[in-house]
Amino acid sequence: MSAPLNTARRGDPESGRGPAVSSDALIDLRGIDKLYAMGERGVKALSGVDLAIELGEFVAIMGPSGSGKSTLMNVLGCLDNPSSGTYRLAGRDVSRLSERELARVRNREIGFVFQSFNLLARATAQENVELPLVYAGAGARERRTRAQAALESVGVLDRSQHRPSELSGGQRQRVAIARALVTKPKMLLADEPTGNLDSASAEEILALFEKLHAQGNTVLLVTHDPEVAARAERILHIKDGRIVSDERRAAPAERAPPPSSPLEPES
Amino acid sequence: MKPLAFLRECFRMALQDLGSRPLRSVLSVLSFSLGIATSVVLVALGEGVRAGVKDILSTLGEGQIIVTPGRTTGIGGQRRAGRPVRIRYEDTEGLAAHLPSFQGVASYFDMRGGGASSYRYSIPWSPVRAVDREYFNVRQVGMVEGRWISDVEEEEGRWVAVLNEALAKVVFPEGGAIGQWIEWRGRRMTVVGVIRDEAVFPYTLFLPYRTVMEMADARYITGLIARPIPGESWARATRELQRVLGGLGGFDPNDANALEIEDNSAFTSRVEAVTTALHALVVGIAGVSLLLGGLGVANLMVIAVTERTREIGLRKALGAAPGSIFCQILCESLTVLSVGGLLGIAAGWTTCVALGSIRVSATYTAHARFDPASAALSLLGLALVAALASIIPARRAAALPAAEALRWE
Repeated sequence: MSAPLNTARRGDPESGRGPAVSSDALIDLRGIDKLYAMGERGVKALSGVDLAIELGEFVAIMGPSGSGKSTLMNVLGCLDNPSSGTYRLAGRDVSRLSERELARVRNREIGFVFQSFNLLARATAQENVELPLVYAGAGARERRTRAQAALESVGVLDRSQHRPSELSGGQRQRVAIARALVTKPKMLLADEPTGNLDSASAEEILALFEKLHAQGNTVLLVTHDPEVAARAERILHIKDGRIVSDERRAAPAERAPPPSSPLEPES
Repeated sequence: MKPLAFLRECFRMALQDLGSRPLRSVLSVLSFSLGIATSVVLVALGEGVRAGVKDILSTLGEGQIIVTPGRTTGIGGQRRAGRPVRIRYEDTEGLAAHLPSFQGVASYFDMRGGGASSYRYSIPWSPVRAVDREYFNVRQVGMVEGRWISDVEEEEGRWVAVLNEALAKVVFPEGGAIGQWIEWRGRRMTVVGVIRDEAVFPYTLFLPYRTVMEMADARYITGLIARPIPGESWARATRELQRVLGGLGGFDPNDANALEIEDNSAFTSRVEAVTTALHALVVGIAGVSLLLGGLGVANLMVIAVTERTREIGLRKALGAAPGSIFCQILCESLTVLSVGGLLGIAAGWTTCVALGSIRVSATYTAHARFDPASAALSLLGLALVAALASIIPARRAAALPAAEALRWE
C-alpha cells in the first residue's frame, strides 16, 4: 500500500487519491501554527507556515536553533499535531489524527533518520531494521527478507548480525537508513543525519541520500550546516517560526549561497 | 496485527529487554519472591498458632462447665444452713435427660494418694479419677493411644485403666502401655488407653466409676462436667444446671455458695481474642510484605520506563501505537511478577515443609500449616499488586509524547 522504493518520481497513483485536494503535492501544509503552553503566555513555535513538497523532492530545512525547525520536523513527521492549520500527507489530512492513527502514519509513510542513530543497543542490525515491520504487523519471514533487502540497498548486508557497538558511525547510520527505508515510506525525514559523523562518513551518508533521491525517494533533511544543505535541490530557511526563504537549485553539487533574497513560500 | 501474534511479539521484546539487564531482573524477581515467600510462611505460621491454641483451649476445658459442690449459705440455726452439699452418683445417672441445654454431662470422683507401678517402674503419688463413659465425650480430649473405657467395663466395674499421658511416660518409658498391667493400691488393672488431659494432675489414672466404688466410698461425686450445646446461652445453661442439682442436693438453686461453678468461657474468649488479634497482625505483616514486593517491582519498572524514554520515543517514531508500548511494559512487569510469584510460593511451601512442626513445649507443637486457601489468598493479593505494579509504569510509558521522548537525554 505504500509507494515502492524505486518508484517513478511523478505520477504516483496514491497522491491523487483521497478527498478532494487542490494540490497533488506529497506534503501540503496550510497555515500551520504550533503553540506551546509555557508560563502565562504561550510560545508560538510555528506561525502560519505554508509549504508544499512534491513527491521525489530533495529538500533541506535550515535554521538556527530555536527557529522552529525542530517543531516543523515534528509536525512533518507526524510526531506532533499542529495547533491550527491543515497538513495533508499524500492527500490525507493528518493534522487531527489520534495518537494511534499517527503511529500508523509514521509507520507506513515516514522513515526517520536521527542524528544519534537511535539504534537499539542490544539488538543486531537485522533486528533493528525489522523493528518497524514488527509494528506494521509483518510475519517473521517477511521481516527477515525485507530487512535484508533494505540492508543490502545501503550496503551493510554483511553487518546484519552485528550489534551497533560493533559498527562504525557511518555503518550505524546506514543501518538506521535501512530501518527508515524498510517499510517503503513516502518520505525520508532526516534530522542532522551527519551531525555525529566524521567528515568522510558524513560524505558517504550524504552520497547515499543523493543516491536514494536519484532512485525516486523523497528526502527531507533538517540541518544547520550550509554544506549539508547544499546537497539538496531545494533549501528552506526558517526563522522565528516562519519560512523566510525557499530556494530551488538546478544542480545539487554547487555551494549554497547565503539566503540573501528570501522568496515567498510556495503554496 | 493479529492479537496473538502481537502478544507473542510483546513477550519476545519484553524477554529480550529483561535479558539485557540480567542483574536487575534477577534482583527484582528475588525481592518479589521473597515478599511472597514471607507472606506465605507468616500466614501458615499464623494458622498453625491459631489451630494450636484452639487445641490447648479444648484440652483445658473449653466449652465446658465444671461444677463442684460447695457449702450452703445460711443464717445460724436455720435448717440445712452451712452444710456441705452432697450429690449422689446414682442420682447423676440419666441426668442428661433433665438438662436440655447440654450436650453431655459426666460426673467424676477424685481419690488422692497411692503410688502406681508397672512391672518395673513406679510413681509414688498418682491420683485416681473415677469416671463414667460420658467423661471422654464431654471433655473432648485427645486420645494418644488405645481406647476409652467401654460401656461394659464401666457397668461391670472391670479392672481397666486409662492413663494420662505423663503417667504413661513414667511407668512405661519404653512405650507399649496398652495391654500391660498397672498396680494401684495393691490392685492390678489392664491399661486400655492413654489420653492427654491437661486440666487434671498430669499423673492421673482414670478408672471406671464402679471399679472405684468397690475400693472406696465414692457415693458422693467430687464434681460434674457439663458441656452446653454450642450456641446455647451459658448463663441460661448454668441456671438450668443449678436448678436441677439443687433438686438433687436439696439446696436453694439461687444459693451462690452451694456450687462452685468453674466457667472458663470468659477466659477462652479472651485467649481467642488475643489469638485472633495475633493472627490479624501476622496477616497484616504478610500483606505489607506482599505490597512492598509489588512496589519494588513497580519502582523497577517506572525506573526502566524513565531511563528508556528515548527508546520509547524511537519506537513510537517507528510506528508503535500507545497500545503496543503499554502492552510491552505490561508484559515485562508481568513476567517479573509471575516468575517471582511462583518462585515465592514454591519457596514458602518448601519453608513450611522444612519447618514442619516446631516443638514449643512438651505438650504443644506449632505446625506451619501451608493451607491452599491462604496460598490462594496470597496469589490473589499478588495478582492485585501485580496489576498495580504493571499498569502504572505501562500507562506512563504509553502516554509519553513521541516528539519530546525522542529529544530526552
